[in-house]
Amino acid sequence: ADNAAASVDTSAWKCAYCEFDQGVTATVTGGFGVVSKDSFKFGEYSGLREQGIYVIGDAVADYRNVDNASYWDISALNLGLDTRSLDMAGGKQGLYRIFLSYDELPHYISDSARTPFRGNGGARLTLPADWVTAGSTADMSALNNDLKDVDLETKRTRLGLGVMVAPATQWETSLKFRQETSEGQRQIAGSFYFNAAELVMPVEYTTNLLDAAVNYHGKSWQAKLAYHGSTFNNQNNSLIWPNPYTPMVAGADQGELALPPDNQFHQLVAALTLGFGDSSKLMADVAFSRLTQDANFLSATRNANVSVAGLPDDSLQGRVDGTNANVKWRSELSDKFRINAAYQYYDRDNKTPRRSFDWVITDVNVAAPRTNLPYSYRRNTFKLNADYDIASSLKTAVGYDYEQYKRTYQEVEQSQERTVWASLVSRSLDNADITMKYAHAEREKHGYQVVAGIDVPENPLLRKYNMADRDRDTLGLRMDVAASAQSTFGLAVDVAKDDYPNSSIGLVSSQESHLGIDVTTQVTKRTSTSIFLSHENIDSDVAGSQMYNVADWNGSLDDSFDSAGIGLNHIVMRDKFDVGVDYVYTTSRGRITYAEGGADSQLPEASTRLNSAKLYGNYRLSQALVLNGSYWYERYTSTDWAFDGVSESTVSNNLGLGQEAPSYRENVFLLAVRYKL
Amino acid sequence: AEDEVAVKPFYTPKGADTCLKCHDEDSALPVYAISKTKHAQPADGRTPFAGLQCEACHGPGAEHAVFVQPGEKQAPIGTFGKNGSMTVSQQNQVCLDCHRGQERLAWQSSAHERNGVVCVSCHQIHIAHDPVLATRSQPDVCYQCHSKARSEFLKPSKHPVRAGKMACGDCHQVHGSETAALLKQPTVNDTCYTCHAEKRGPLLWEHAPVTEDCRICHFAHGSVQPTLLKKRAPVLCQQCHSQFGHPSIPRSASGLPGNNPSVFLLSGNCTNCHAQVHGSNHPSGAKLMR
Repeated sequence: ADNAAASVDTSAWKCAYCEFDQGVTATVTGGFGVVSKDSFKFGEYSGLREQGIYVIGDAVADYRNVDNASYWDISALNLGLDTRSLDMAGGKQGLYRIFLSYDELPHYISDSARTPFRGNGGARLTLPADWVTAGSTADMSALNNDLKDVDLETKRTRLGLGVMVAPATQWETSLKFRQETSEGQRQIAGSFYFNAAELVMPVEYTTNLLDAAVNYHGKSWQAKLAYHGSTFNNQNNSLIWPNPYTPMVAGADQGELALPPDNQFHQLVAALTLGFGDSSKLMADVAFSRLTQDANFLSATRNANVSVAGLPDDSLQGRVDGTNANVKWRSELSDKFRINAAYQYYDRDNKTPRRSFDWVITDVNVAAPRTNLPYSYRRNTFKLNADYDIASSLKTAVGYDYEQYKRTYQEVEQSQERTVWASLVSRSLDNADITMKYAHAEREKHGYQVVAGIDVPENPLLRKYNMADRDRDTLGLRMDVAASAQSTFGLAVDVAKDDYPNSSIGLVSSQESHLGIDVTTQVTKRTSTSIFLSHENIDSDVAGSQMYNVADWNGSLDDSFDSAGIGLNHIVMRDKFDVGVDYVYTTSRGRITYAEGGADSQLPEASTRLNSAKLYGNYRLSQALVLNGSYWYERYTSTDWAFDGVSESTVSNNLGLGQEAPSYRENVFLLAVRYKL
Repeated sequence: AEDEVAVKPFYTPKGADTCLKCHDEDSALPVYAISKTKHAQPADGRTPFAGLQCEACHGPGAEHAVFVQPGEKQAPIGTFGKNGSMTVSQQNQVCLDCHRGQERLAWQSSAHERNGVVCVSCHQIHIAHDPVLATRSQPDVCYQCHSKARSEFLKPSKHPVRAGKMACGDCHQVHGSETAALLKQPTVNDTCYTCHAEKRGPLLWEHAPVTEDCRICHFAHGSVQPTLLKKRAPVLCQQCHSQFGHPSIPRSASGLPGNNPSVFLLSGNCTNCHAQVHGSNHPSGAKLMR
């Protein structure tokens, strides 16, 4: 048939009806929007954080040349907001492509914080000259006078450029560079023993990423060789702050927090896919990486009155070598029966030298020397599974997975998990697809030893849940029904249940469940709707022992999340006027109940509620001009026991930022015209 | 050679012009807009429109193009989609014949392939701008099957997908990957580090779970708890820390304002002092307090 296709004479196939783009086409959107109130939470990632008028500006332009396959595309979005982005790409189709991208992403974290510290956003904080230290926040007499608002926010700016070249049909090469800067200020905290202060740390990060790849595909095989590199640079290596409390020892009047140090990561990847006839395929890849970090150490303390031995070295000489390898075999033994086998290997080999450090507890006193624990781990995974098609409309699969972890300097040196699973996909019913998957997994550890050298040691009955014995059952069900040509119905159920049978302290059980329903309907030729409903629950139990013995308390956590949405679009006049509404409602609840000594106590519920409605309309004024108008109402309320009623001085030994759980009511009006050039 | 003789006559006489006579904008299956796409580039010898045009993908269409009387059934042609006339593997092979590039190296036996996903389950190739290729509109395509993810991105703490600043493909390699959840990088952490490189370390005092898997403490999509955490601290931390003294004490309502406001419960609770939960490179940071 291939030969037949190749010999077809298409010289007369003019494609006269084809409306190929030739030359430049462009669409420009301009207008304005009005936001009713300031709110960081509303504008968290959208940039609509301030009351006032915003400029709406989008521009999309393309150039096509059907004679020589050259092209370029430009897309500039949100030009009037600090979420603006620009994407430009061009080249000659089938030969090369060059691209340039720019993107801004703000994260408005909190607009309700206040602090007496000055110099926020910098690497050295100060207190006002009139500051009066005290043993507790309530006695800090200058606090109320010295409090000033401080916004917690960061902004990422991403610049990307690259080129892709296909020198021949079978070859693809690419070189991509991305620089990402993150600037702003976030929350951190520092303490002198139990006297804590919430602080503002500077964020001035630059990450450079370079990716290069060469890919070849022959008739029955493909290969890829790639490099991925990342360098991270932080303009600030520490945050120094003055102790707002009366120092508990002489000289403990300032502290210094280490900020993330510069690092480098380099990785080489090779991948190969081999086909053996039409029925078998081998896929393999291997990646070698090296991560290094060698920033100069800070001093062990800023307290000149504390005498501490010198550091064993000027820097960490940190190095982690990574090896990742995967081999997968797929064989089609018949039209109905396929076997898949896979082996995966990952090794994090932390080659950072171990050394003993004389150190100082919170700039107050010298502690017993500690030796660092450069964690390594190795994971081996085997997977074997088979697909069997009972009929074209009924497919089954069964599988067995084995995963082994080996860790260093942790409580469990080795653990393994065995999973068996089965799945079924049915299209036996008219217009209905049903997919089910069930899996049962058992993880067991070899021994559990409290890590030596850590003072104070963990309770020996504690079992850290990522290493503990665990029985896990998961069930997934999805049903998609095409009730008619105009209506679809979807149902999704997911349940995951974890038991930690040999954990008496720590996480002992958890259960997650999710129910989702989707309905789409073409009500009339001109009216379409989509509806979704979702309910999710996450329950877990944690046991503890305040007597450093067997469990004497239990904490039950119950988190739930509900969401619902409806979208409706109506074409009032075809190709002329359409209107619509998108409504979303969500609510979340988090409850913690403690059982201790036969009595229960409950923390107040932490909750959020969102009501969001967008009304929109598009009216075509002429062939080239469309008027867009929309109104967006959003109401958000939240309660959070960690912040509600907690001022900067509510806690006697925590000088807080006094943040509040966010709430807002926003009205946004947008009016714009879209003009097609 | 026998096949060749049998198949050759069944291509249409005029290619796309034959097809577009019926499949215009008023038809049930309008396809005009394909001429705005990169598939329709006659000067690029690799594309369908440099060769057999519509029939490059749909197969010979002469029989299908024969005019029929009202009520009569049109002869079939290779069609795509869930209810397409071609099998899943046949459909995908049509696309893979050309699109075998870098990221589709591991398509075979990937989760999507094994679950019968066809390329056109996600891609729309007959329109000028395929929604799944744009950051703003891509998530809605994925939500058609992954409805739980839509719910997660509506949670109070989430990655900026709803705001249109991130798409599923920023983290996931949907065409196949050996990493859990089809991630783009070889490990979960390597994927997170592409945006959160400050947490790579290695650090002098590492927090063991941080080096192993970010998901031990965080959800990737969204959470009802702050900063995408899986549970609310201090209980989050007490799952793994139960030393004698303050870490092992239940932090109940007695630590709320109005009672005895507790540094171990309120504001950042554990992180009020142990602020360096992702590890510290400070010589005195063994307890993640510097």
